[in-house]
Amino acid sequence: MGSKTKNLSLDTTIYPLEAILNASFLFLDRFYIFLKRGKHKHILKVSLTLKRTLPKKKYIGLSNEFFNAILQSSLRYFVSKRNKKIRDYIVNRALYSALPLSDSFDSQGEGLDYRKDPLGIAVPWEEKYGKQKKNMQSRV
Amino acid sequence: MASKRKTCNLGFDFTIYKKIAVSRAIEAFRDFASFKVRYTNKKAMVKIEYTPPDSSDIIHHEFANYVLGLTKQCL
Repeated sequence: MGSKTKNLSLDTTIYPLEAILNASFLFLDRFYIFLKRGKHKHILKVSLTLKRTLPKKKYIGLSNEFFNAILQSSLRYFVSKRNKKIRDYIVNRALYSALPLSDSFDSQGEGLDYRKDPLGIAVPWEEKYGKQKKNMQSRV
Repeated sequence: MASKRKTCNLGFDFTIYKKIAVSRAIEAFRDFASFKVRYTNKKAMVKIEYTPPDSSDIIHHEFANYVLGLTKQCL
């Protein structure tokens, strides 16, 4: 692949594949990147070829930056894996509270008429308690 | 003087790359090169043939980058 190509071997038990893909994606504008499996299943070979638009001097610095990017992506991956449960819970809660009221709540009022007034809400206070007050006064 | 036709073989391992990413990339690069693909259970062997314009011979590199980008988007 030319003199500006650097081959790296990465252990996927240390750096997860998702993290390597993430870091590679970040460097797509500066390198031509190709990934393949090594002899062992957990070894991933990464070949980095510097794009011609960039000066050769930058090559070493950039490839070292790539290592750092893999480490950073790995950390992000592990943190997101650890927080998955709580993240799911928060999203579920947010979505659930945005739902409209359930049908069962509406069905409780089916067949009722506002004119029937079974709880006696529409009855004036004087009608409801006026008689009791008169009785109380007469007792006194 | 006309440039020589360049041939390049790339093996995309399905434990790293997505199959759909490979087929979509081939679809996208169809106008720039001719492709021969052989799919197995574990990988896609892609043979790319193209005539490099001037001094540039980077289409296979660009193709590999494109597959990687699509794979990342599929995750």
